[in-house]
Amino acid sequence: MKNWLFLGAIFSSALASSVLFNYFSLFGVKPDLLLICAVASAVYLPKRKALFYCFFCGLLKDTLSINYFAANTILFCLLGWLIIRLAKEFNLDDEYIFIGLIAAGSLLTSLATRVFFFYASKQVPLGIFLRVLLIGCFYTTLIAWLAIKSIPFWEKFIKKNNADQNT
Amino acid sequence: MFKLTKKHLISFLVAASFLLLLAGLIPSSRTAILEIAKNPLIVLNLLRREIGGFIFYHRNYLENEKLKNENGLLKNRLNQTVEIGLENSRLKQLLSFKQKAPFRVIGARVIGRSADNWSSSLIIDKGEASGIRRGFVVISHLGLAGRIWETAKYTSKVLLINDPNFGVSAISQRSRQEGLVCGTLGNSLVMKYLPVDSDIAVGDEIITSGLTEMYPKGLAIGKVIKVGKEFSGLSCYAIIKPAVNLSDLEEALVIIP
Repeated sequence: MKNWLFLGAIFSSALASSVLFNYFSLFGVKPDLLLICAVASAVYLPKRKALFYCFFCGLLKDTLSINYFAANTILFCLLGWLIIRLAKEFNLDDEYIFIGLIAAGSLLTSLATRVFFFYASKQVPLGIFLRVLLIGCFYTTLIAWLAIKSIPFWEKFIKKNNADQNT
Repeated sequence: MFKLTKKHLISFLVAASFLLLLAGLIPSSRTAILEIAKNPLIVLNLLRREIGGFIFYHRNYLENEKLKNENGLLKNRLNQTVEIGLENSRLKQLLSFKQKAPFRVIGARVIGRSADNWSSSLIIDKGEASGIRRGFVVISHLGLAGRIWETAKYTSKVLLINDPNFGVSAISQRSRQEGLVCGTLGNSLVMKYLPVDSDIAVGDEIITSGLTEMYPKGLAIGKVIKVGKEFSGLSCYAIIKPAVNLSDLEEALVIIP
């Protein structure tokens, strides 16, 4: 995939999660589209590019939300680095493993956020924390699964479009 | 599997230090990105409004009819209130009361919301160019909505009252009982540090006390829906339903002190 296309996809995901997904939130919880982009780049792209995209995803998430410091930028970079390390040991090029990585990434980033909250003395009731943690993980994984399942459809669509243009 | 060698540890520490250094530099890059994202956010927001209008057409139609009736009644009441207000100011002048300086407000459109689930914020289309600065109070016609967290030249980020970072000194309008209102990330707020014998009850209106700098006294925060005792038993808390519907906020007013 061309660089600008991937950057465009990341930017669109950030805008969509900031504006459009307010209508599609599940119990007030939105899917983490930028996490999906970060994990996808870490799994499918070369190391340096992947780390850059992870950094960009984190930076966008920090830009569109409120944090004392660049927590998401650091978390996404660490997550990307961990996935790259894992990819050296195992073959991650499988859709179920990808879905599993998304779920694990979502849980890990949420738990890390909870730790930040604890050290910043911010109180989030346990019920709300668990709701965001579990529904967020489920919803993000669901969207990632739908995105993977829709890839063949888009491939067909693009091929058909190209064939129509050629004829 | 992973073998944690000295080389790995050093490279990890270098990377972590680099990221922490970067974290310090990031706020300036964030404002630049926010400026770039402003126009796409406005376009997407308009699209979202149109989709919303289309999806909720029937509901909006019925609501519009209801609001038209309500508007007529409120116009009558407003006239009465204006009369009372005029009378009040005349009487105040007679009594030589010190007049409070009225605050100036700037209207702004909401163009985006928080992209993550761990904070509750808005992005508005007014920034430093309109005179908005960090810490300014944001209200809606119903009451307190939040405060300015970060500003760029033409956009600003608003920390909503249900964010865990938010805190404001508040009082009960009925009993004048004072406490600290904080966000919980959910649909309600919590009023903390209330004495065990505090006079606070379900249905009490909570307003700003004026003790927190920048927040004018008397801004509506919400209504008490539950009162409980802290686990330690040393103090009480009250759960408050915000006066402003934070998930539907489309326009906001920024108070310029």
